[in-house]
Parts: sequence; C-alpha cells; structure tokens
Amino acid sequence: MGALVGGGIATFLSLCILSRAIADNPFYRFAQSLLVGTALGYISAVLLRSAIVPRVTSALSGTAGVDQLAIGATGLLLGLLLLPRFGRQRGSYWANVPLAILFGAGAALALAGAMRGTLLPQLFDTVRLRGLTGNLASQIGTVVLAILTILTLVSFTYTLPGRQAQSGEEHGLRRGLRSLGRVLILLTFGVFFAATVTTYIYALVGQVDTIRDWLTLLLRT
Amino acid sequence: MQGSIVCGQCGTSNPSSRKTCDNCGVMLTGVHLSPADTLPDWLSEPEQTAVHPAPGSPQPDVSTPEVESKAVATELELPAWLRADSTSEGDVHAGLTSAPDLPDWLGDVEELPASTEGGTTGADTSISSGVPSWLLMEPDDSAPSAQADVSADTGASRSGDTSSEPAWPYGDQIEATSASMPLHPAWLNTPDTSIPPEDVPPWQSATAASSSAGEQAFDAGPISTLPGWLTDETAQENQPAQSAAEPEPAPIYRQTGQAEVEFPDWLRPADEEQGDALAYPEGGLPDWPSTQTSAADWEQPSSATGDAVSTKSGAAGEIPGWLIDDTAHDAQQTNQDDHVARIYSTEQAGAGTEPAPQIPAWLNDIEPLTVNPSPEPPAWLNEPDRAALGPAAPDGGGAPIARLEMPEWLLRDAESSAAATATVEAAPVWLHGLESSAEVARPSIPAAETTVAAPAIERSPERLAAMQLLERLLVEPVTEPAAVPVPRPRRRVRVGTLLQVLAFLILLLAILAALLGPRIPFSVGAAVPSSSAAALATRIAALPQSAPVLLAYEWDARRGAEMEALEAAVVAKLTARHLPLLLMTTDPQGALLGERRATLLREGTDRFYNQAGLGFVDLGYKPGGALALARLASNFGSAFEQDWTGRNLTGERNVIQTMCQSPNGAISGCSLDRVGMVIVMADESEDARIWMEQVASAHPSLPITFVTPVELAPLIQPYLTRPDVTMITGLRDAIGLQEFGGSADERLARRVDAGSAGGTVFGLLVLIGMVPAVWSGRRARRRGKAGVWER
Repeated sequence: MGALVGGGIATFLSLCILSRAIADNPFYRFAQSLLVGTALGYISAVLLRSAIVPRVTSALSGTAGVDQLAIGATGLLLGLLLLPRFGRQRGSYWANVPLAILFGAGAALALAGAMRGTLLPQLFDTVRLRGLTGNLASQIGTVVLAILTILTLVSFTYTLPGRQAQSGEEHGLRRGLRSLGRVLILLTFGVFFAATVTTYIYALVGQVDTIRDWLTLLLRT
Repeated sequence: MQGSIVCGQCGTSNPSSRKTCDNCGVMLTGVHLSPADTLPDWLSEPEQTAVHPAPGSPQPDVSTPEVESKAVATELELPAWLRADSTSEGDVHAGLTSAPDLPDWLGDVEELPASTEGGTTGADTSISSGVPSWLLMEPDDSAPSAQADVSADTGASRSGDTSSEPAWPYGDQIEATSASMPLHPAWLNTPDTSIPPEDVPPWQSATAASSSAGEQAFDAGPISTLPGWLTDETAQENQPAQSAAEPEPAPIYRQTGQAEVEFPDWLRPADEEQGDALAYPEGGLPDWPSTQTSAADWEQPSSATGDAVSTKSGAAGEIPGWLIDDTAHDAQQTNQDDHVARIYSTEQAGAGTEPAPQIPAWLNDIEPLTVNPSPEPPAWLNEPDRAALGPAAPDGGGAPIARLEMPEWLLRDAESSAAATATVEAAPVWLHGLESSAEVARPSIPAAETTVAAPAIERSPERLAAMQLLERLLVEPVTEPAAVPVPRPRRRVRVGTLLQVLAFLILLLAILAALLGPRIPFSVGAAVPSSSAAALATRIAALPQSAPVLLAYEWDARRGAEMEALEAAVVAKLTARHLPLLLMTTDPQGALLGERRATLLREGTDRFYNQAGLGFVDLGYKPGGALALARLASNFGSAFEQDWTGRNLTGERNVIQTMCQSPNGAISGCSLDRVGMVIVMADESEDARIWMEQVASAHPSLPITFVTPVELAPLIQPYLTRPDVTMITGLRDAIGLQEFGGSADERLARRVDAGSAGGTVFGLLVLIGMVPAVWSGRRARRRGKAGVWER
C-alpha cells in the first residue's frame, strides 16, 4: 500500500513537472515549489542534526573534551558574530571576522588543492607526453592531444603583433589557427551538451519507467 | 463729518449746511473745505478756537471736561498708524528701532520719492491732506532724546531737505533710523515764522488763505494755530529736562493686564523683557488721553461739571474749553447714550467671547463707560458723520474707525468683493474687533483719504495663463477619460509551442516504445564490455578481504535515474566480497542516500552487514565540504568521532580495528592509506574535483573510483591520467559491471535501450528542427529583419 501511495504521489509530481513541456502552469509550479521546499527542509534538518546537536549534546553531557569544547566555543562565537548581519545592520562589521576566516581558509585550501590536484598534474601530463612511449594509437592520441591543446590556447589570443596591428589585418595562418581553436572549443561544448542531453534523457527514461511500474502495481491491485 | 465753510469775514469754519457764519452772521461765501481737505470735526473745532481768537487772547482752558471727553473720542478714533507711532515712541525711549515692524502700506509710503523742491508730490499732498503731520510727529517728552539718536545716514533726499519736507510720511522710520531729523515740522518745533508754505498742512493753508484773521493768527505764531492740547504738548516739549526726569510709565498692555497678542507684531516691543522700557509711554501722548483712559467725564454722573473732572483727573486743567463746551452741548443728546452703551457693550461682549486679541488694551480701559453711561454724550457723536462720508463710503460709513486704521487697498478689497471677509481676516486681529464694533455702534468718521498707491502687480503672460488654468480647473469638473475600446488580441496559436509539444510527444513515444515494446538491439555485432566497468570490477576483485572501502555519496536524487543503477551495481560488487563499507558524504542530500543504503544493508540476510560496526559504518554527513575532506585526508580517525546517529566511534576498538585497519584498535592508527578503495559517487564535477584536490593529492597511492552520470564524464576525464583513478559512468557501465558479476538486469538493459532510442530521436528532432530554423533565418535576412542569431 505504501508503494502504491508513494508511487502515486511520485507519478503525480512527475506528471506535474513534465507538463512544463507544454506551458507553464500551476501544477508545475506547485511541484517545483514542493520539491525545492522539501529539499531545503531536509538539508536544514541534516545540518541541525549533524553539525549542531551532537556538539551541544556532548558539551551539556560533559563527555566532550577540552579541545572539543574549545573548538565548539570558537565555532559558536564565530557563528554569533554572523548574527549582526540580520536586522538593521548595526554592528554588522563583526560578521566580517567569521566571514574573513571562512573565505580566507577556504580560498587557501582551494588554491593549494587546485594547484596540487588539478593544474599541475594535468599540465605535466600534457607536457610530458607520456603516451609517446606506448603503442601507435597511444602515440597518435598523445600528439593529437598536444596539437589540439595548442590550438585551443591560440584561440584565446586577442592581440596582434605590432606590424599586423598597424595594418589591421591578421595573418592568414594565425587567423586560421584561431578559427580552428574555436571549432575545437565548440566541439568540446557539443560533447558537454550531448552528455547533458544523455543524462536528461536517462532521467526521463527513469521517470517514465517509474510511472510504468506504478501503473503496473495499480493495475495488479 | 461734513464739509465746512470758512467764513471770509472772521475766518470761522462753519458747517457746510450753514448759510450764515455762526460767529459774525455774515453770509458764508468762504472757502469750502472738502472732507478730504479737512480734519475730523473734533479736530477742526479746536482749530477754530485756535484761529479765531484774536492775537493775544488767552488760550482756552484745556482742563475742561470737554477736552477729556474729546480725548476719549480721539483715542477711540486714533488710527493704527498713530498708535503705532505712539508705541514707536516708546521704542525710541528704549533706544530701539522699530523700522522692521512697519506695515507694508506704510513702507510703501516710506519709499515714496522725496518731495520736490518747494512742495510735495501728489501722493504726499494727498496724504498730508488726509493725515496731519502733527498726528504722526506727536511730540512727547522723549522727543529730544529721540532726535539725538537719529542717525544721519537716512538718505540725501531726506537729510538734505528735512526741514522743508513733512516728516509724517516717514513716521516710524524717522523714529527708528533718523537721528538728526526733526520729528516735527519746523513750525511745530520752532516758533520761526518763516515756515515754508509747503510745510503747512493744507487745511491750515486753506484757512490762512481764506481769512485775514487766520493770517494774523499764523503771524502770531504757530502755537496759536494749534489746538490747546497740542499747544500744551508743545509746551511740554519745550521743557525736555523736566520730561526726561519723569519716569517712563509702564506699557499700556502691561498696565491693563491684556495679553500681548492684542497688539499686532509691528506694535509689539522688540524684546519682551524690555517691555517696560518699550512701553507705550504716556508721556508720548498728551496728558489728557492718558488721564482719560479710565473714564470719560461725560460718562460719569457728574461729568457735566468741571469740578468733577478736576477731582477725578489731575489733568483736567489741560482740557481745552471747546471740548468742555462740546461735551456740555452733547450731554443733552441722551439718545446717543444708548448708542455709546451699545458700542461698549458690544466691545465687552466681544471681550467675553474673544477676550484679549480683539481690541488693544487701552481700549479696554474705557469699559467703565458701559457701567455708567453718561446721559449726555458728546456732541461729536450726534454729528451726521455718515453723510459726510460721501460717495466713497461703501456701506454708509459702517466702519469709520476701521477705515481710518486700515490701508486703502485693504478697504477696497473689503468693499469690492465677497472676499472682504478674508481680507479683513488678513488684517491684525484687533482690527476685526474694531471694525465689527464700529459697524455696530461707532459714529461715522470720514476716512482720511490717504491716497497710497497700491503695489502694482505685473503678471507675466505665463502667470496669467497659469491663473486662468487654475480657475478653469476649479470650475470645470474633471472629465473622466473616455473608455477607449481596446481590441481583443487574437489568440494566436504559436507554431513554436506546437512544435515543442510535438517534439516532446515524439520523444516520449520513442522512450515508451523502447521500454514497453520488444527489445531492439541497437548495438551492432557482439557486445563490447565497458572498459571502465571491467577495470573497476578487476580492482574490486583484487582488494584484500579485510580492506575497507569508503563510499562517498556526493550525489542527490536529481541524478537518481543513473546513479541508483550505478550505486546498486557497485555495492553489489562490494558486498559480494563482504568488504567492510564506510558510508559518508559531504552533501546533505547524500546523507539521505547513504542512510537508504545502510538500511538496505541491514536488511541483508548474509549475516555480515547486519553486524553493527563490522559490516559497515554510516559516518553520515560531514559538514565543511573541502575542509571536511581536507581533515579526512589528514586525520582519517576524526571521521569516527560521530556517525550518522551521533555516536562517537573512536572508543570502539572493534570498529576502529575493522574500518581503519588499526593494529591495536587505537584511533591514532587510522589512516586513509589503509583503506582499500575510495568510491566517489558524484553528480557534479565540483565534487570530483574536490576529492581529487584534497584527498587524492594527499594520498597519491589511494585507489579512487568515480561513479558519475554521463554528464560528468568529459569533465572528470582529465583526472583519469593518474593510474589509480578510474571512472564508471551511466547505465551502460552499470550494465557492464553487472555483466562482470555474471548477472544482468533486464529492466536496466531496457532503460539503456530507451535512453539510446531517446537520444536518437532527440538528434533527429534537432536535425529536423534545423530546417525551419534555417528557412526562417533566410526569410528574415531577405526582409532585413534578421536578428543577431539569425544573421
């Protein structure tokens, strides 16, 4: 029975969302608001349960150590400093302290992580051309990757050498390379778009399959 | 007041109705004095007494009761500018200036051009004919000091010819600013007989011209031509030392206890604290009005006798005899008694309803008149003053006193239109009381025809147009806007909407056909197993039996169509080997999905994962995002401080030994390097990036597998250059992973087919949709209406 009711609600909400394909309508807005509201409510409950309640409980029960209490007190103080942001903004500058800590630590962490985990590894992989040591396909792929990377980077040049800038005419080869780089970028975007469309089509398939299951369950009962 | 005729024989001024002179009986053929050129009767009579007596004749007794009664009348009839003059004299006593308090009409007079040589301008002439200068330049005891204080920079036109110019038009300004200018005409201050004729008021000139006796009187000295009471003032002026020695009396409004608001602003002293110093000086007035303010003699029961007056007032001796005669004569007219009683009863009633602001304070001092009205009112009350008003009187002379005290322009406004009420209200409050009272009971006194030029208002055509517009807006009703029929827009069925709905229906039909219909093999030839799924299956199979696997649920329900199948395939592969599982997430919605998986594991019947703390541990949500992952990478044991239920697992040795592979079960022995594999189920590229940046970079040898939807595959692909990083994406890899386990879900395969069918139909719809788009663009280019994208 639970599956029937739950499946019915899911089917109804799915049809409400799919009705947006025809036109905007109250059913679509209702379902959208319901889903967003439910998600936000659930997130709030999770944050309260996972971030606040355990620390308060441990502090009140006396099971928390000194370090945990210190960390909890610091977090509580920084959180209270955010409160002047509400209301008439009196003393809102106090909120700059926790915000500065948050953004400063986050930026430092993200920058270090990006350099260490994304930029340098991908840059080294492109420069080292490690695929040249493999088979022929790997070697061809490595060379093509390097060329396409160069063409893509060339397409982002927006200045001309002095002589070409005076004449106002860009060299033909340079212009062709830039155009080829733009084509590669558009191809990349096309791949991203196709992947996104595939995902959404899979989502549509999944919803339709869910509706079919519910209809099957409904017909059996 | 009526016109008078000056007798050519004796110079006596007779009423115009007389045919023969009252004095000598000669047929009157003298000069007719128009009301504009004459003074009020009460003023003209003493003039006669002053002119007619022969030179050397004794001055009339000013202490008679007639003088007192006439003084009351004079005080009642004093125009505002005269009282202002008196108050200004008090200011002069205090050494203050009162020029800013001048009324506007007086300011206009003040700005009149200086009199021409040997005469005055027309305006001056008219003003001087209506208002004698001695009324404004009333001498008092303070005159010498005031004259000494007058500054010398009052303009060349005045300072240069002040002696030949009547001083009264400058009124208060002279008192306030001019120090050296004499406050009186020369003939008033000095007994010099060589007074220029232009300084002589017209009424005196007329009298002098018509009567030889008058000429003799002028020759005898100006004093002889003045009324007795004025002569007395002149006598006082000649004794400045004595006057200066006398203390200044308190202001009238202080004496009478009236509120200060009774006086208009220009009558008030500049400083209230100096009120006593700025008081209305009794010394500034003749003695008789100051002594008479308590009661008129003719209103007293014994007013007919001079003795009673002398006992009542110390100044009785200053009253001229003509005033006594007038009083004695008028005392017979008892019918005016009711008239006077009505006057002051009206004032008293007005004081009851509107107490203070109605009348000046000094008028309230005459209230005892209403208590004991004299049976013998003065003669001037019986004079046919209304008839003397002439045709200029608007309502039969109903408000003579107000007429005297109000400027001409204000009178004209009051008479001409229904806005008279508003005009009167614009005047000082006490003026309303005076006018209303005078309309009821006051005797008519002709207005001094002070021809003050009204300020010329020049209005521009724009202003006139604006005025007309305002008037028209006030009169005309606001027209309601006419209802314009708005044509109902035709409901056009947009072709684009129809095409959109049609495309959606086609896509939906294709998916339904793939799900419900017979399975269509989209792959040609033998099925190629997914390399990614094969690599993951191989890696899972290579994991040690006790190596824990960390499952990170970094996805939410939006990608459930793909992620559920992938997650189920991966977990099935892991649980098939009874690998310990650690469930955690940094996404709040991932906690829900992790809890769901934990519930499914507990419901298992393999008696491994239903053992709490041995088969799996749900660490739940770890707040902080990248910070939480960084902490996880640096201190893996901290993840056990709190599980999904809030329990602290750091003290549970079995859990720590199983999940952290800590040799002695201590939390310090936990390390992420002891974990067999990390499987990150992410639906956003940011999740994969953070895991790579914070965790994989800190533990390069840690095997990481990303389970993502197809959408993220191109974005995560660059991270796959590392040898320990693998990825499976989409339903196809899920099926491939299932096939490596020896089983495949038929429904999952249909979903894959439906997705392939839907993708194909979508591509066809895009290609088909390009045809009308290109055609529409070409047509727009031909019409020249192509947009940016259509070009």
